[in-house]
Formats: sequence, structure tokens, C-alpha cells
Amino acid sequence: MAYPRMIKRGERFDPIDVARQTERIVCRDGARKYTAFYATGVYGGIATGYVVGCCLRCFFCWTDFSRDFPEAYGKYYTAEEACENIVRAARRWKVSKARISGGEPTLCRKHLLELLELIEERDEVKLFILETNGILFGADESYVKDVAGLKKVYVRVSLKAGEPGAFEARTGASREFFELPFRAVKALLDHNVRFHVAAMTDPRIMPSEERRRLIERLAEIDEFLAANLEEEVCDPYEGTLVRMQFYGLNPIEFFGREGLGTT
Amino acid sequence: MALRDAIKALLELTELEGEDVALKSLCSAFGIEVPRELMGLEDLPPRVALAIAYADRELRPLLRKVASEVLREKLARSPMGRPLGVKIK
Repeated sequence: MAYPRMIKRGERFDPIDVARQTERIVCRDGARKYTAFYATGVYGGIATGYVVGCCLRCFFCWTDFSRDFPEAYGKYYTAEEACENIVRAARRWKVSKARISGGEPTLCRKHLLELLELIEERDEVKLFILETNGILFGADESYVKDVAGLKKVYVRVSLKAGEPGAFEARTGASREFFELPFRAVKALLDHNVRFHVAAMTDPRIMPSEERRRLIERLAEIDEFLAANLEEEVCDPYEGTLVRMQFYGLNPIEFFGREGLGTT
Repeated sequence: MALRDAIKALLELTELEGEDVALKSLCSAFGIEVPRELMGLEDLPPRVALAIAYADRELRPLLRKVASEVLREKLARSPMGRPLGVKIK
């Protein structure tokens, strides 16, 4: 299968296969590709390592073009190097939270687990937020077990859809993999990992009936998770605009001229 | 304010956002006293603080009970403000 990059409406792939293909590009001998390390204002200030590569191709994704062309972006960092860069960013911006973001952090399992172990030893970081789409955690519960014992780890699982057809249409991943993020949620709960669930419920992307079904589905797993759901809003980042256009949506119609700041 | 009321207020306040402001700042802005049970988590975003509290086996039953109430109200609201008639177990 050709490596999927930006998707057009109707394209689909096996996200586990894409995860493995992506890992062949972005993981090397325990190292992983990153594009940058710095702190941002989200979560009230957090040191962030931006990783390259993902196993989904959401048309609304905000990240830069390293998601679509991982060969062309980033440099390889060992877990030690990544840890040092994250801690340096935390010190410089005087924050005690850290995360890796941008791409999908659960790719390159060996690298991630080494990094998390190293973070456990560093006093500068009190909380490490692991943001994931839940695909690989849902596919292999042993991966969830691996992070369950780590005291500083906090997971944020981001759901993309409330039904299989919408999952396939928005992410490019075949509908048969729709359940994986929900399995991840269940596994995180079963292993008493500290986490919350987010979902792209922006009404311009997700119809209200689907949003309701997603919340109900979460409530079937655990009502607290549904009540504490983080509802995401789609913002007009450069990558988002290009991906939308490629997908077949008009970003001007989607966001409006006011939303794009062009009025 | 009782713990139950504080949790309910926080779950409602963080329905859309709640990642970028600390629990103590949100509580201060809305006149909510940070519950004793959430002390130590007040510098975290409220949603994260609540999720961490939920991992505490002692706090879990209360949080689940309040969440159930909040959820009923949340699902009763359609985008047009009309009840959807959804039943939650």
C-alpha cells in the first residue's frame, strides 16, 4: 500500500499498518524524530516535544506538514536527548508540566517508554501529559499496562468520531478500527491510569446526533469520563486549511472570512 | 460549598474549555472554594485535576454520582435548547 499522506474524501487505510510504516521512517535504534522543543501556554504552561508521524490522517488536523511527509521533517533524538530538551524547556519557561505532541506519541514504543522512565526521575517535571489518538493503546492492552505504573503519566485520549462511517471519513482509517480508541479508554480505566477523554465535537465537523451517540457511548463505559469530556474546536491552522482543501472542503466556507481573519 | 456542589460547578464550567486555566484561578473567578479533597491539584487545569481525583478510589463514588447528574442535564440539552429525550443508565 502506498504511504497515505493528506487524504481525499473516500480514501481509507489500515491505521495499524500505517503506524508500522510510519515507525520505519520516524524511529531508529530507539531514537525518534522531533521537530522542536519549547513551552506553550496550553495546560497553563507546558514544556513540549513535537514528534513527527501519526497513524491517522484527520482532515482537520492542526499539526504541521511533518505528519504527511515524515521523511522530510525533524531530527532523530534518543530518549535521553529528548528528555534533556524537554527538561531544559521546562526550566527555561518555569513550568512543571511536560508532554509530547504534534504527531502520535505512542508510535516508537521503546522510545516512549524509555523517555517516560527518564521523566520519572526528573524533579523538574511533576506531570507528563501523554496525548494520544488511542489507536495503539486500543490495539494492545499490554502497552497500557506499560504506562500504568508510571507515577507522573497522565493520558489524554482524543476521539475523532462517534460512529464508524464518520471515523473512516474524517481520519482515513477504515471503519473496522473505530472501536480501538474506545478499547483504549476501557483499558486505561481498568488499569487505573489517570486520564481524560477529548473529542472533536465541533458542530461544523460532528453532527449533534453523532455527538450525542459519542457521549452515550462513553457513558456506557463510565459516566464520569463522559461528563468530564473535553470538547475540541477546529481552528484554522495552516496545516488544517491545506488539508481541508485537499480533502475537498472549502476552508473559507468552513471557517468564514471572519474566522480566517480576512475580512 | 460542599464538595459535591464544587465538583458539579467545575464539571459544568469546564464543559467546553478548561485546559488553559488553573483550578485555583477558575475557582477564584467564580467564587468557588477549592475543596480540601482537591488541595495539591489546584495548579492543574480543572479537568485534569478532576480526572486525577477520579483515580482516587475514595473520591470515585462521589465524582461518579455528580457526573451522572451533570450528564443527564448535558444530554437533555440539544443545540436548539430542546430536550433530546435521551436516557442514561
